Parts: sequence; C-alpha cells; structure tokens
Amino acid sequence: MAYDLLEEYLRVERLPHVWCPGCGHGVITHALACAMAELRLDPDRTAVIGGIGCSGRAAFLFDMDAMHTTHGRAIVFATGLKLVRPQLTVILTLGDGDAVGIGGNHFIHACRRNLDLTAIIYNNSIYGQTGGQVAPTTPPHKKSTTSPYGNLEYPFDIAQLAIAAGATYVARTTSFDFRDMVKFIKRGILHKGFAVIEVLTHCPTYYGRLNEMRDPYEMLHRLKEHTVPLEEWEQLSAEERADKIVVGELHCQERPEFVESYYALITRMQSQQVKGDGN
Amino acid sequence: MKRYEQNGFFLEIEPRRCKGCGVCVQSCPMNVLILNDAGKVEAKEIMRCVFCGICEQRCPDFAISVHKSV
Repeated sequence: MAYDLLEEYLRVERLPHVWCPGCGHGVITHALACAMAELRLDPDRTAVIGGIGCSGRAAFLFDMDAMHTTHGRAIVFATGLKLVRPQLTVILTLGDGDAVGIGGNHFIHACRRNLDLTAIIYNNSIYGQTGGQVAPTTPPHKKSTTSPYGNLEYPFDIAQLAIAAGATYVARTTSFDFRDMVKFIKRGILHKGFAVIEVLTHCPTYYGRLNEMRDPYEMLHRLKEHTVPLEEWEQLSAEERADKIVVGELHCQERPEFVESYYALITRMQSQQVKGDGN
Repeated sequence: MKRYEQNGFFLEIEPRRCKGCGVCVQSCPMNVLILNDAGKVEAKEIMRCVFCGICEQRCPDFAISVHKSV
C-alpha cells in the first residue's frame, strides 16, 4: 500500500520505531494499519490501547487516540472507554504476557462479557522487553533467560483459551501470512463482539538468539513450517498434529454484545422510572 | 526517499526507516534488493523486479512500499 494511504493512520514522524531489526511486531502493526486503511476507519472515532511490553509501543504509532496502560490492564482501560464512548472503534495491541500472563484474568472475563473490542495479540512466546524471561506461551523445552536448560511448563493456547472463555470471534495467524492478518483484523473490527486475533510472531533478539535461530528470515519460515491451515488440520492424524499449530478463522458466533445490552438496560430502567413518576 | 518506476508500478524505499535486518533481501524471489555499505536496503537490479510486493509485506520497518500508479 502506498505510503500516503498509510500515513493517514500512522505517526510517521515516530519512524523508525523502537523495535529491534527484523522484529515481527512491525509487520503486525503494518497489517493493522493496512486493515484500518482498507476499512476507511475514521481516525477521530478510533482508539488504540496498548499495555506494557514491546507490543504496547504499537499504540503510539497510530495517529489517533491512544492509551499506554499498566501491564495486563489494557483490556480494563478499553472496557471503560468503550462503555463511556460506545461509538468508538477500540483496538487493543496486547502482548502474550499482557493478554494471558499478567492480564490473564481480565482477558478471560472480557471474552465472557463479549464487549465490542478487537484484541490483537502479538504472541512472540517470550517476555522480550524485560530481557527474555519465560512466558506462559513459551513452548516446552525452549530456552529463555529464566529457563536456561529448557522450559518445563506447558504453554497456553491463546486461541483455544479465548474460545473456551466465550470470545465470539477468534482467529490465529502468523507474521508470515500478511494478507491473512489484514483479513482477520478487518473481520475482527467489523465483528460485533469480542474479537481475538492471535498473531504468532518472532523475536530474533531474545527467543531467536537463545534458541539458535538468530536470523529473522529463518524464524519467519519456521513459523510457516510449524503452522497448518484449518482445512488441512482436519485431515491430519494425532501424531501429525503433535508439533503443529492450527491457523485460520477458528471460531465465529453471534451472541448479545455487552455495551448494547448495557445501554438497552439503561433505556429500559429510565422509561420505567418515568412511568413510575406518573403514578 | 528513493523511488523506482517501471510501467506504472512503483517501488519506494525510505532508507531512514531501514534497520538493515535483511528480511526483504532474503525474501525477494527475483534478487532485486541488496543491503548497501551503509547497511540500508537498495534496489540494485530494478529491471528484474516484478512488483510482487513481498518485500513490503515482510518489512517490519515501513521502509518499503510497492504500489501501482499514484
């Protein structure tokens, strides 16, 4: 997409951004900007909210209202904003730590409530900004600065967690599949309800360096090799699925949206009160 | 900004934004791009470019744009 189209949505004076050379976060942010441009979102009626971590920096690259919130609490601030200003399109740029580590509780409850928010989860499998500590999404046996002999824990499957918790739109893709990212983000924004778009991405500086794949290009291709589209996934046996991750539009359903229900309740109560006064 | 044009297609490179990660150079199916001595991307063999846009999609730094006439 031409620069002048993206420049309507980006604070280009902030470029080059702070992320490391080759970091996948830039690719996801680019896809988000493309999705906004393709949907012709009004920047005055859109807000981007980030938490703490590398992903939280994405919010400031957008030339619109943005909030940099406390760690794991981006969803909380977004909930408040959406309830007070229901006409806004609210987009969250969360990291894996933000969404399912420190903010895990808020995340499952936002899924359950089904607020009309779009959460883009930058899942790089590690705590990048703070120095490469093990995250709830680090795969087993992978190294980090706090698991130098390999991770002993089993990671969260963010997309499955979101589905189980009640999110009404859940998609997963990788930073390799650019058009899929744009497509899912667009559908997520248009979806009425809590939309989760998990993007598996690469962190060459920490995850890559500690796990013998320093080259960002190699990491991108490894993401591609380890993921299987939903249509192919259904034909795979249990053994074939073992080291693979399914990507695609995993879940989409219609369920009453919280903000609408909330305002409908206010209107109903106010009309009852008026009737009550009449008696 | 460097701008290359061929038959109404544009490849634009903003060297100030480039961090020299080299992902675009390795991704280009036609071997058009190189990293120059300053460690920035450059379209050395623009004649070979098919304007597929893979470099733009892979670039994490908003440094490359491929598009049709403006």
